[in-house]
Amino acid sequence: MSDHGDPAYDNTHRAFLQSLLARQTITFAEAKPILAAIQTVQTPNRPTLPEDVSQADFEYYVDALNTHISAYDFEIRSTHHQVSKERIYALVNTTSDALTQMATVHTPDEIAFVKRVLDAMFETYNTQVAEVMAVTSMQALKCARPPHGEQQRRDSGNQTQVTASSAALTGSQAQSVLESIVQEGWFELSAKGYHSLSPRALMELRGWLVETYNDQGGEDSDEEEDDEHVKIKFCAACREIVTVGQRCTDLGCGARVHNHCTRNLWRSQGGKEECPTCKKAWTEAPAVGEKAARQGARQATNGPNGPNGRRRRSPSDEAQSGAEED
Amino acid sequence: MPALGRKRRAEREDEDDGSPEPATQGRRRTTQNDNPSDEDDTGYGNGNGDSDSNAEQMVKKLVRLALACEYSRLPIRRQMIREKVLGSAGRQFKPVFEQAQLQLRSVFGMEMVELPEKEKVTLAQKRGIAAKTQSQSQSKTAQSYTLVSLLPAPFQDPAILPPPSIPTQATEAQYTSLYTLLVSLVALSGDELADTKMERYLRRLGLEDHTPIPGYTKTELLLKRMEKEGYLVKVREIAGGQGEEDVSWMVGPRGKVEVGEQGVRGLVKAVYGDVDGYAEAELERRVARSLGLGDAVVARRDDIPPKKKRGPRRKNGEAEEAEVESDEED
Repeated sequence: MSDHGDPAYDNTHRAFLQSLLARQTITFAEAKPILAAIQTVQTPNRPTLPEDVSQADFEYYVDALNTHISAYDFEIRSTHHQVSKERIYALVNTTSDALTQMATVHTPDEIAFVKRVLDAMFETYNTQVAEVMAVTSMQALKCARPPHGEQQRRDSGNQTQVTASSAALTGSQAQSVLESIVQEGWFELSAKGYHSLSPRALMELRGWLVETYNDQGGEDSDEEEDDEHVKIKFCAACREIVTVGQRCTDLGCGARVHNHCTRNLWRSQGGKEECPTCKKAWTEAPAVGEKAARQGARQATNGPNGPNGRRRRSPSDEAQSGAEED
Repeated sequence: MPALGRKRRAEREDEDDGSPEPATQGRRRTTQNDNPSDEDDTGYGNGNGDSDSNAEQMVKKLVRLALACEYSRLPIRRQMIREKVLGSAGRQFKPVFEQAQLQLRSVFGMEMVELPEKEKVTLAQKRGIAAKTQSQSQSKTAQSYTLVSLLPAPFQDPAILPPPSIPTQATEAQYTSLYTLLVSLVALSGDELADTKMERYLRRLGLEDHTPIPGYTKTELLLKRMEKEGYLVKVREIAGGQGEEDVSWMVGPRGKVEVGEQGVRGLVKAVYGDVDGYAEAELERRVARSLGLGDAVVARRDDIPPKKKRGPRRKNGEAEEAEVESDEED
């Protein structure tokens, strides 16, 4: 087909775009053979080998695509995997309802269950004392039944919050939904059995997470030193969400940083290894993520008046947190 | 580290502006904000997303709608377009649609293709073959569409375009191979396959009760899904004095567009493997005859327009096991 108008955008770009639409995520390593194949199709007389595709080539394609698709509220975002440090790219829908994509392959009750698991991750198991932001299978399966009676209300005006009307899933249903969600690339299951949000999910749901869990009256998502425990925090170095990383030794301070970002942070501070917010020494920093569950977090949740301050959840779902110990 | 693509775009991509739209559309140059931030921001400066009369907004909505429908294999119904995209601006259907097509082609390499209407049961029976070639019974205009990829065939390689990850590539690949196979079986039987024969094929494939597709492990459910998505059509005809039911299968609208003759040929070739010379010509002839195309049809190769968007048919794991002798059975 002819390329009317823009000579810098041709079938190779369209093919790459269709390729990205078909995949969930892509890394530069994965993209190399694809781009090589695409370019070889375009110029069969000069076949391109995967080794010939450079990082710059790849980024050039990503940029070109982004220029063209942003008009439709799509964007190719990237983030570093918080553990493997690999840079991962995903084509995200920047304005879709939070769980819309998941909803195409799951029933509303299943989505409600997933939503409850997310609540567990970012509320129940995300306290000032222990920012775990991950759940074990056991903890996730406890969410199979919606909380008794009371609805969960949020002031942020989100539409998808009412769970009282959804049906409970059986244990095995919940188990299989959980496995499916992992396979679909939304959750990751760690070696120690913790489910957490995948890089793709963090990219796709970034806005929704802030809206849903940082609902202290504003979109303010930076580190705050409120009495309220801010649920979603961002890395002092790279500004991406931190669900695995380190925190200031002062538990009341909101500074967070990814493990692989610490070096950059110290460098930007002239070598000083101190908290960017409160300046305390950054030594033996407590962990953020599943490690926090084991690091002396004896009280993951308190009663209604614990250090977490006012809690919006009803007391009845404290029962869900069960025996979450170290 | 800033994510890629956070550039300020001074003006819209206008490469497809050579469109035959009437000037009354009044396309405004809206200043673009930075690429949509994480919050729910449509990213459009002045044109707030609620203003349905903004033609650009409607075109954008239609493009997004088309992609979203394709994601769940829903047909893009004209009615849906009117409700979700046009709102009160119903008269703008044609210009909005055509502009969306231009943008789909130029940015995504896809376009919307009409889905043939389902024929009425009794008419199909009575008119035989003729009913299949007629597009629809009542309306002249298409009622629904689906997206197809316009990329030239060499791009349709699984290395470039794998089965989409909905929910996973493996599941999608399995489903694709199954519906391609069943559509081909029906197509090669002259687009009408008696249920008893269908059962027989399913038994041969080991699919009479259960399927490997997660979520659709009962065959009945899987067939229902294929019907719902338009790959197959189950035709029930009351015949005989006792009111007994004759059940047969036909190729559904989506099956015709997405799999189509191209897909059926591809599957047959994949099963038969590499044949050349006389054997190849012979095979072509038999396929053409089975598809009801007549002996004179010469097999076309790469220059056929709409290519199917959903994953190539050539990688059909299950097809290799099937004994596809169906091309001569009727």
